[in-house]
Amino acid sequence: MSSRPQFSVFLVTAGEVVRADYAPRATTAMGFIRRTLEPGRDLIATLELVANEPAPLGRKVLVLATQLPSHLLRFPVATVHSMHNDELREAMKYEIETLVGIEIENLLLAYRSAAPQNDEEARFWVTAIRQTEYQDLIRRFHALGVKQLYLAHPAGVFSFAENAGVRKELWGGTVFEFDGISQRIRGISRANPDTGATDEDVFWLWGDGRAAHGSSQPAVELSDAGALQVALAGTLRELTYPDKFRAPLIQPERKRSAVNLRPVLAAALALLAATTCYLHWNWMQSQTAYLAVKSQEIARPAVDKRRFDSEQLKLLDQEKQLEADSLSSGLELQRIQFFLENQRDRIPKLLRMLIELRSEEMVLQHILSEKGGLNVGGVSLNGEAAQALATKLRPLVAPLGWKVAGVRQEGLQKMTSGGPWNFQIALTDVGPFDKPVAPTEQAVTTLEQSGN
Amino acid sequence: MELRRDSKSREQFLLVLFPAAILLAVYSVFVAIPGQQRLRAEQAKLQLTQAQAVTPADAENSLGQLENAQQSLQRMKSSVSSNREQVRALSQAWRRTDNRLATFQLITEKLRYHDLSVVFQGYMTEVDISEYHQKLIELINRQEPEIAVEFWQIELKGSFLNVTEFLESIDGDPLGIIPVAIAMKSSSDPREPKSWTIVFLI
Repeated sequence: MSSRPQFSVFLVTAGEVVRADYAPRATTAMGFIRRTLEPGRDLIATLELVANEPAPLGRKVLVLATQLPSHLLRFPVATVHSMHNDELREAMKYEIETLVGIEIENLLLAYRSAAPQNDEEARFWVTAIRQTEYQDLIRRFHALGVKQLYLAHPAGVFSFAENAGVRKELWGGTVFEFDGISQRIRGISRANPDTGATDEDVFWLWGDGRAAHGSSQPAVELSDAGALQVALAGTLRELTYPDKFRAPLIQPERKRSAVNLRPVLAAALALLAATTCYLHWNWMQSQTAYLAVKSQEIARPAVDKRRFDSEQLKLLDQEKQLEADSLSSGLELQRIQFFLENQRDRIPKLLRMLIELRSEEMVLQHILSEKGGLNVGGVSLNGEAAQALATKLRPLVAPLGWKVAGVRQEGLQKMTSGGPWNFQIALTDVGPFDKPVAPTEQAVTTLEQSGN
Repeated sequence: MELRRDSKSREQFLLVLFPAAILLAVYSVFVAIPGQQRLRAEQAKLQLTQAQAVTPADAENSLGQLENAQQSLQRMKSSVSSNREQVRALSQAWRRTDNRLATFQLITEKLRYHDLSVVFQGYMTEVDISEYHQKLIELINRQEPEIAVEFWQIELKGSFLNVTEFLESIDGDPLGIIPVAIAMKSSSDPREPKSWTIVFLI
């Protein structure tokens, strides 16, 4: 059993059918079958004549058949621009229905844009087939292992790169006129039955064994099997991109999704945008929060330091006050200690000192208790005795909390020396200090507060 | 035909993009731009904070100084409190309030013993004492106001020597009395005894 080729091409004309099988990128067929046709065979029967050969068909099959009705349709440019592709296709079906004799609901067509003649008219090359016939073909070819089936009219499918002028092809009594540069169709017309051509300047005119009319010979003689194989191989290369095939190519309709993808795509994009927004928002939030936390972390030592310094300043104020309180309470303690330890017997000691230290010339007349302390007074016959007594007393009364503040003396002028003299010796209470220090109210109050 | 298809495709493409574009535009205006501004503000704040930052060691140093100051303050408070307690204790330690009658009897006996004639003795509210002692007594009284010290004043007549010996014979500690003021006046007649006024704290 021979291996399955990649491609199979069927060329069906009024008089014969040709089948050529090709490996990929091959220019010569691995199988070539040619059969003469009897008049009146339909397309399916014609194809089956060569398709059911033992050699398997290729996975892709291109059927080029002159039986496929092919017409040029005209529409206003403005109308075409306002229509969607599906609407345009429906309009074409209405137009071609009467031309091909296939009811519109059973009509399957393919079209290509034709070369424009003016700015107001859009022209389309349309090839049609009965849908039931096409489905029948597909079913039959699928049974033979074919995956994809393409149908087209053979006009215009062969490439002629060296030709830059108008090309006319004669197929089954119809002349197809192509632009040599754009390769787009320019017109379709019936051939002159006498000459097989419609014009004097026909360059390429083939098919149906009719002789070329003009100065050039046909590029491909269908009767030449080798040349035909090369031409068909070139056609297969054009099939690589079916949408760019030169002729209208009837092919399986692409399965359309039951769901309109545009809203879905729009929703998907919107969802993607929303997700992106959310991620960006989330990133911004996290960044902002991170920066805020980092700021707080960095600022915390400074905040703590300010707080500590502030508290320390307050403590320093309290410390100053407490220092004063401490000093005051210390002084009070010293005073009361001194009072209890050294002053309980100071009055008898002072009296004893006065008895022992006064001279014979002195008479003590009074001791007065005054605001500052004591005032010892009397009369002396000696003007220096009171001062001498004060001098002797000064170091002795200091431990008792007195300070000899001074001696006042007044002569009575009853003696030649000016005496006798009244004298007064002031003893000021100073406690353990050199000068009187009074306990302060504030110190006592603060002391009580700190104790609480 | 090509033109129509292109235009249609472009419109369809734009229509597909439209909801996402609207969403992005709204998000940009109402969320992204304010959010970016907040973010930049936080960045500026962070930079400012970094410029003003102090090291944790500085903060710890301040904390250490604060603790030292607190300890110093506490020591001062303790010292002041201790002084106050001592003042309070000393202010009360010498006083005897339990048996004053015995004290007065003892004083009377000693006066008699030293041949001193009592003119008057009793509690006084107004006495002549120095300002130093007045404030000292105020200090003592503040320690326990409900049992303020009192003045016991004795007016007597006697010689200088007898009064001296009388006062020397009084040991204030067990008796709970302290002489704080004394006054003496001599009579114009030398044979007359001197007049004395002695003020005790009791």
